[in-house]
Amino acid sequence: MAAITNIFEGMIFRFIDRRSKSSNDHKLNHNNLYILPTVRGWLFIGLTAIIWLLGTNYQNNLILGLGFWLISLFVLSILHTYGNLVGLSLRFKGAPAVFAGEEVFFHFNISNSKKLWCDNIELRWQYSAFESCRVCLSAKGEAVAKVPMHGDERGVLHPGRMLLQSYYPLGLFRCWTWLRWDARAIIYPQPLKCDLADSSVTDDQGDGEHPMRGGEDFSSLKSYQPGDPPKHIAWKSYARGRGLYTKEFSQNLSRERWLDFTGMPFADVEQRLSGLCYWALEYHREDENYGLLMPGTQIEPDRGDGHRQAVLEALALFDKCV
Amino acid sequence: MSREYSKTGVSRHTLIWLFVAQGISIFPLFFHLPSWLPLVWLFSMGWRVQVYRGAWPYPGFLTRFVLGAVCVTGLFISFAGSLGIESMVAFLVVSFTLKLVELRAKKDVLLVVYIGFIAIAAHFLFYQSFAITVYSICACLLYLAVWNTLYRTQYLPIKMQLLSSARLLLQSMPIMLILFLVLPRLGQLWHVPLQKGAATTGFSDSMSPGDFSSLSRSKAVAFRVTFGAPHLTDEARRAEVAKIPPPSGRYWRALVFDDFDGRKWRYSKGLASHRLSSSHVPPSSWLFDVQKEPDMLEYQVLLEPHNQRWLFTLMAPRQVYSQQLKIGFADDYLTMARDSVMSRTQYHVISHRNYQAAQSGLSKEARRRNLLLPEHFNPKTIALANEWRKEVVFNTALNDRHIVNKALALYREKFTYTLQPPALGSHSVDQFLFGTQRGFCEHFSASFVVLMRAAGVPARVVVGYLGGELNPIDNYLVVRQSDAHAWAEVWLPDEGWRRVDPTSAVSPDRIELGLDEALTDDERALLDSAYSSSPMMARLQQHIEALNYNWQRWVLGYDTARQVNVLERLLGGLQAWRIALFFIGGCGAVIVVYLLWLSITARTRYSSVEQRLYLRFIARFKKRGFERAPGESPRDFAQRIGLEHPTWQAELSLITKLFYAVAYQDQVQQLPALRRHIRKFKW
Repeated sequence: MAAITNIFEGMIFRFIDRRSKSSNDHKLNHNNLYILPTVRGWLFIGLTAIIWLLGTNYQNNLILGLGFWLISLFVLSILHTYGNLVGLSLRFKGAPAVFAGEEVFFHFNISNSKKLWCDNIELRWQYSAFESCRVCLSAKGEAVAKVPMHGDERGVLHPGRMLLQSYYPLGLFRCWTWLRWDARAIIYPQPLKCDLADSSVTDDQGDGEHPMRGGEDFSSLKSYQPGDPPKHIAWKSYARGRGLYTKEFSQNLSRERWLDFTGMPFADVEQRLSGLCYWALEYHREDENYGLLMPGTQIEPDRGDGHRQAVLEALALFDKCV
Repeated sequence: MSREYSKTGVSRHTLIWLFVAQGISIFPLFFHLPSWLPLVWLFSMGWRVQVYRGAWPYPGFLTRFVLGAVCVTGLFISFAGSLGIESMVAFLVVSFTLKLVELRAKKDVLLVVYIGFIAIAAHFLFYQSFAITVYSICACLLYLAVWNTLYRTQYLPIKMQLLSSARLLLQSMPIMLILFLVLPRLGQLWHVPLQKGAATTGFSDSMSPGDFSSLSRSKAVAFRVTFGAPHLTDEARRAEVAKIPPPSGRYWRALVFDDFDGRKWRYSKGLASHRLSSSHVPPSSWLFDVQKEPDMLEYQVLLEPHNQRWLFTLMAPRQVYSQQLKIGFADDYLTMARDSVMSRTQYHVISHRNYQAAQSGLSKEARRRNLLLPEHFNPKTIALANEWRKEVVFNTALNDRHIVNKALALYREKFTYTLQPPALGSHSVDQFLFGTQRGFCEHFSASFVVLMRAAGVPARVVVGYLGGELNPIDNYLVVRQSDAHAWAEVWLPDEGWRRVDPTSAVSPDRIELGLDEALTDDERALLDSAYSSSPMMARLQQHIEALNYNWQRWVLGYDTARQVNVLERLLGGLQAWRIALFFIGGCGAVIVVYLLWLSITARTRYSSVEQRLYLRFIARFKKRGFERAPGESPRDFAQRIGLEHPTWQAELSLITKLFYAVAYQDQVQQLPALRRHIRKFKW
């Protein structure tokens, strides 16, 4: 039985995928919207049948009229449910990277080209266990939908098909579509606390081999560039009217830290990556310089948000095809 | 996990909407159901409110079982175990109200809404007026609102929610009308229990003094009559008005009473086992001579249910038919339905305007029956009648007509027409003729028939209605209970059965102008007035009466015959393709119009309501010299103006905040507040 259902489902999705191409921009129209009565819709037909029987058996035109009105409401509800979704445009805005085990939120811009309110639009990934995210749009309005998905595994997450559906206004019909996106999210390894082997730390005391920019000892003044930290600005010289200068510090490379893939105390690749991730975050927090040594890749020691992202992405994408 | 609803719990808003909708939808039913049912409703509502407040828990299985059992037992006792339409509706209402107590999730609300529509259908089992239809549409609107709140992510203000539901309701009307016009009406599929205890209105199958004078106080409509062939154009209908007989010719004949026991008059053949003949050919016992002037009168009677079998026609009916009833002719020129008339019924009659009952043909048996008087009653009357008889016997120039004229002369001379006749003893006719001499139509007709029979002239009492007033709006006659009347028929050798109305001898105004005009002012005060004394109000009441009549004829009475007629006129034929084209084309047109509208509004440039409101508001600043710079956001603008003009600051920043809420945070519920603040802004 389950096998038959699977084959059937496969056929349906092959049909649907043929009709909607993978893209980062979707417009909802009669080509990609599907509509069918819900279980409650069929029950409603039963209700109208009861009222029709009552009216016919009592030869009562008013009861029959009520029944006809309910049928007409049913028909009208097809139009309204369809009208709730048709004319919407969706655009993928991006998905902030997260660590494995956390939720990824895929951000979409939804805009309504109609002069109608669109209420209770539900968005959900096909294989996501999260409840749908709901959106309401004013006439000609826009909204941002954040559709959640579990980032279970390190690497690149392709979210798959998205279900977009609506039961509005009366729940008699379900209008839905399946959209395929070029969207992807990067999932960093889950940080794993571990000891760092000594070999990965160069801890030479005394004079260093090459000075590095940044550090604690003042070396020179350079003219101010936007983006230089305010606390390094030479305020005294500024007050004397000499213009804006930034103080440069240098430090002998006393603590140059290398995150070494081979130095991790685990046998498992994933665990090693998790450990490296943990330490990368630690060093980042302590504002230290750190570099990454991976089989086939090397990132020179540095610090800052950009460096952190580069390191974590390298960990996330290690051994994965993008 | 139900993904269908916006939230699974039942919110306060939905609960309030539901209470109101349910109350309005079951209120009219309470008048026909046991008086304790409203208490069940209040109880359930109270319990649910306590649950909402967290004071009480949801009832457990046992509590629910006990509640249900108590109510069902109560119903069983109230209806004495009988299964009628009322008990079915009562059961529906009980289960419907008890459901409130265990209203946990939205699916329960949905169930209540669905049952609510059946409760609205039940209204129409008891009431069918135009007013109740409007009321029920309001109830439908409320249910639609409750239903819609289940599928919204946010709650709209009451007015907006109602407007949105009303839009849905109005948009569904065209398709409903097409369905109503086109879908065939089937007959009863199986026998259903009818309403029990339907009141018998009008007169009964017997007559004793006082019956008619009490009836005359009721202004309830007995039936309405439209003259002319069915389905005439308005112009032709107006032309028919000229053919309506004058008031004195509108004797709506229903029943004859030919059996007198000294007090009560009855129909000797009884009504239970009456053989009906075809309704197209009068039975052989009907003898008339119509060759003299074959002038036919055609009319439709819309009869209010009176729970009796007899029908009302102008003498002498020739053909009668009805869609709803099986109708036939019976002896003594009566028209009867096979079963009691339990619902509003329309029938079509063709009568002879001028006829002559055949001169010969009163059988021996009929003559004996129409001369019979109870023994030892009314000796004085019999003595008087014998005197008159002797005059005729001794003078060959005189005939029975002379006796009739003598009696009418007697009434004309001394008698008074009154709504409050004195009570009469056992020799009622003696007392009336020689004592009180004050009476109503039943006194005159009964005493007249006794006089005639005592004088050897076959006679009988006839009952029905006399007159009816013309509604000037739609040119039809309204006949009310107060028009109930009793008169007499006598058999004259050369003329056959002749109508004689002794009341006309006493009070010609009653015949010509109606009851109101025949009474003194004091007595008129006893009557309910059908129409207000102010002419404008009277005109309005006539319009309402006309509306109700048309409602009954065109909506309630829209049956297969009318459907055929309407479709024929609308479509120019009844071929299946024409009907199919109309049906598919009509529904299709509605759908196409909707879709076109959707795509047109999608293309037009449009600024939203809040945008327009805000821009119009800002334009008024410009007039006062404060212009919004290009690219300046509403927030910056408000800040700048607030600094320059501190008295506006608070209100302007509030309006800006509301505008942001509506425009960018989808808080549509703030829209009325935005509008209000902009309107009340103090410059």
